[in-house]
Amino acid sequence: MTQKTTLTTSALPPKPDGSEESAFRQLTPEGRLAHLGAIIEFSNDAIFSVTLDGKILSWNAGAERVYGYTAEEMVGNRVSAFVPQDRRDELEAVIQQLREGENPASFETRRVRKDGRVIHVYLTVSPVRDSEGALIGTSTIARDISERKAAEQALRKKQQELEDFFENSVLGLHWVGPDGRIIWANRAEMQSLGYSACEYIGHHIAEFHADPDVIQDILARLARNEKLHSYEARLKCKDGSLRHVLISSSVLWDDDKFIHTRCFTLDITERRRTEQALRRAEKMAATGRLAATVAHEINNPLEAVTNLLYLAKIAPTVADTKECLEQAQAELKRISHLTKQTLGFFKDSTAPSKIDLSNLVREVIRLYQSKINSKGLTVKSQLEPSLVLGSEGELRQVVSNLLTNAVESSRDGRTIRVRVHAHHELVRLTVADQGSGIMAGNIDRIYEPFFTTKENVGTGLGLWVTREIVDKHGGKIQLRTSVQPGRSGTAFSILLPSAS
Amino acid sequence: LNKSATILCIDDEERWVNIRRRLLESGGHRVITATSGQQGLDIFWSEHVDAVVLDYWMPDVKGLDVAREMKRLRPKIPILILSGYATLADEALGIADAWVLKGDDPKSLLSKIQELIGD
Repeated sequence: MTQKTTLTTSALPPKPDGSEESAFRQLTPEGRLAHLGAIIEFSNDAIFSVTLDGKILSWNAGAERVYGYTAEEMVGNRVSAFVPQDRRDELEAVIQQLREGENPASFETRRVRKDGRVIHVYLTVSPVRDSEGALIGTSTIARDISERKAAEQALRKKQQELEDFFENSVLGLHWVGPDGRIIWANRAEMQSLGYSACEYIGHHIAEFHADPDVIQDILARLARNEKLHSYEARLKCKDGSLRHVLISSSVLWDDDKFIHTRCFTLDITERRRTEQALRRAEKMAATGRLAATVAHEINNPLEAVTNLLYLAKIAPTVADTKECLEQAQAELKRISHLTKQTLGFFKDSTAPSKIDLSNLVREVIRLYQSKINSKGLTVKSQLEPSLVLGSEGELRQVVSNLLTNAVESSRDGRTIRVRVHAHHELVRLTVADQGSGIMAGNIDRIYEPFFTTKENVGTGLGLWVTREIVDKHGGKIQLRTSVQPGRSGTAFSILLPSAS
Repeated sequence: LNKSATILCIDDEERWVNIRRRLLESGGHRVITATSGQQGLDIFWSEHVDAVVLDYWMPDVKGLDVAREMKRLRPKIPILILSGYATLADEALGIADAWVLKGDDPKSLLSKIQELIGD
């Protein structure tokens, strides 16, 4: 078969029905042999035959391409030329199998090309028998599968990388099937909740939610093909503790078929704790500032009282003593009024109630009046009765933060305008100062915790807490500011739903 | 033995400055009052004064600025600052010769004045 034979289909006598199968039958035995020879010769696969003692008898063009050796080089040579050392046994085992009458063996293995490159091949080794049926050699069809192997390996590597990425993600990831059961979850999710795979996968997702309404709503929304973005939920850990999470999820559909959810869970428990601590810290700081203000307000009349009592004691006449005591009494009334006014300031109120925002603003202005006076500032207020629903202590904190910001950023002799008015469904509170305004670069940062431009004075938490409280009340904060000399200033507006 | 002196007493609140005047007079001093920082400076400039009792928080010219200007004019005249806050800023502590928390025992004001003018 080493002799090259050419045969084309046009060499076959054409048949009227177009069938060429019968044309093959009409060929002479020599013609048939030549035709089969051509099939082998022009096959894209390597095809070669080997004697039982390993000598190569035939070597087609495909074999030349796959192994890099020409027929001249290989015919009469031994297969060991291209079989790597560690694969020699494999051929002997195959020959043994064929001797025992087993079927042609197919397997994947490695071979070395003439240029030294190792290739992956898929081999089918078939027996060649004599007329008595005795095994006299083998024929091998070999296909170079190196490219496929490389692609498979790359795919496997990619898959491993993706698996590693998903498993080691800081986000919890899971899929939930249409029946609500968890199909798959990554390690991060199970670890953060403390469950093993068998305690988690296969279970209904609702078992792990602390709030049944929440998970019901999540599943209902997903089933309606809604996408969830940062949906807040609380998950139950194995040890009974709760984790605060933000869930983003959507469903993978195949036409109309719900395949599974794709759920991303971000654990915000620590963030929640930190925020809570910060809120407490700001409240403490605000309370501290307030306490200092109140102490100052009380100490002024208190000094008058102590002086008057001292004078009463040393007064020469009863009438003088009486006059001193009366004055002292008047000053004490002032102190008593002040403490009544400030009692309950920033107090935690439990249930929200209807509050007249104007009244509240009036109280806060009164409290800071002497600070305002001492800076030579004027507060012009326009306060219309406007009811809002909310926590009195928290709203007072908002008003107090805005007013003290305005006072602290105002220079002597300036005016602060405060306005409360209801418009349609909203109540608007505006506190406007004529301070230096907020630089453009700082505007985006003023609501960040710890951001402050007031060294030594501010905690940098006031506006952050203000926004939190306003958000909680379903309201909005608006800001206008100008740094233009001569007309600089800042106006904060709080918009709250009206409760009228 | 108490020494008698002329004391300039400055506070923007007239009611309180008058009570304080009576206290200082009970200590045997002659008292001149002013109800603004500027008025206080004018008197300090034009009249003989042995000591100054100054409110820290005033609307027009701050107590601290008043004290700074007085020290510039006549550094030897002792200044006592009164404050409603439990602490006084470092800068004020550096300028004032003494300070008293409002609402403290009146005797402590009188004795501090004695110390200042006795020096």
